[in-house]
Amino acid sequence: MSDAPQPNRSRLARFLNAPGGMTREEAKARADSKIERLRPRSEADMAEALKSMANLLATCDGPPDAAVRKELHRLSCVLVSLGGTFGRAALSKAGYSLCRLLDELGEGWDQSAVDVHFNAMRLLFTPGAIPPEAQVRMVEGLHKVRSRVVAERSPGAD
Amino acid sequence: MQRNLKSELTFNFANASVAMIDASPICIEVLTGILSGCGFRRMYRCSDLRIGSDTIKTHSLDLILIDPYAFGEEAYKFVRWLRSDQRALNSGASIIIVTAYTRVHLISAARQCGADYVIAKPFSTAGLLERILWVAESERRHGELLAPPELVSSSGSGMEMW
Repeated sequence: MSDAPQPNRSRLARFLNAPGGMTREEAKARADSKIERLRPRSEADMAEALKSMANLLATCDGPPDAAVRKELHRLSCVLVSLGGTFGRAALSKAGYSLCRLLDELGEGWDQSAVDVHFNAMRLLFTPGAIPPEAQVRMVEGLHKVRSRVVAERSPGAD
Repeated sequence: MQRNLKSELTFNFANASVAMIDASPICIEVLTGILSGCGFRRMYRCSDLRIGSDTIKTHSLDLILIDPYAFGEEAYKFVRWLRSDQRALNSGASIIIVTAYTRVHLISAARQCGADYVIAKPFSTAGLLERILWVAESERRHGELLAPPELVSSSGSGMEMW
C-alpha cells in the first residue's frame, strides 16, 4: 500500500483496511455501549428542557417575542436529538413537529397548537404513559394539527 | 461464492484526528462516545466557533463534525473560510454537518459552503459510522454533496433512524 498522497482521496481513506482495525459490527457494539452510559444524563437534560419550555409557555400572554420563540425552538431541538438517540422516537418526532410549527408560522403564533405539542411531548416523555401504538397516532395527530394551522394562516387560506 | 465487501471492510481510526464543533455539551458527549467506540482517539471538543477556529489552525484534522444550529450563518461562513485557502492546514479535511433540524434550505446551504455531508440528528451509532465510512471511501468533491439520495433527509429530521 502506498502512502503517497492522492489528491482526490479523502484524508480518512488511509485509515480504511489499516492494520489493527475493527469491523462495522465491532465499532457499533463499542459505540452503543459507550453512549448507553449517557442515558441518565440525557434523561435529565430532556426533563430540564421540558421544564424550561413549561416556564416559557407559562409566561406567554399572547404571542411571545422572537427570543422566546427561538428558545422554544432550541429546547425542542434538544428533545429531537436526545429523544431519537436514546430510543424515544415519538418524543423526538413530536419535538420536530413543534420546530416545524414554529418555523412555518413565522411571525404568527397559535397558542393552542403549541400547547397541544407541548402537552404531547410531556406525556411522551413519561415512561409507560402512552402505549407504542398510541404514540404513533399521537405523532400523526400533531402533524395534522401543524398542517391545518399552517394552512389556515397561509396567504390565500379562507 | 460472492464476497460481501461491505462487511469485510475494517478501519483503524486510532491515528485519525477529528474536531467536533457543537454548542450542546450532551451532544458533544454523544459524539465523543460514538467516535471513541469507532476507534477515534484524537478528538477535539469545541463548544463554539472560536475554539473550533483555534483548533483548526493548530491541529491537522482528518474529519470535522459541526452542528450549525447555535451559530447560524456564521457556521456556513466558517466552513467556507476553511475551504477557501487550498494551502491551509485543514482545507482538505472531510466536513460533516450534523444537525437536529434538517430542512431543504440547510441542505442547500451545506452544498454551497463546501461540506461533504449532512446528517440529521437523531442518528444511530450505525448511522453516523456509515456516513463517516461513506465520506472516507468517496473521492473529495467538496460542495457537490454527492451522497446517495436515500441517505439525505430533505423532508425531516432523523431519516437514518426512522
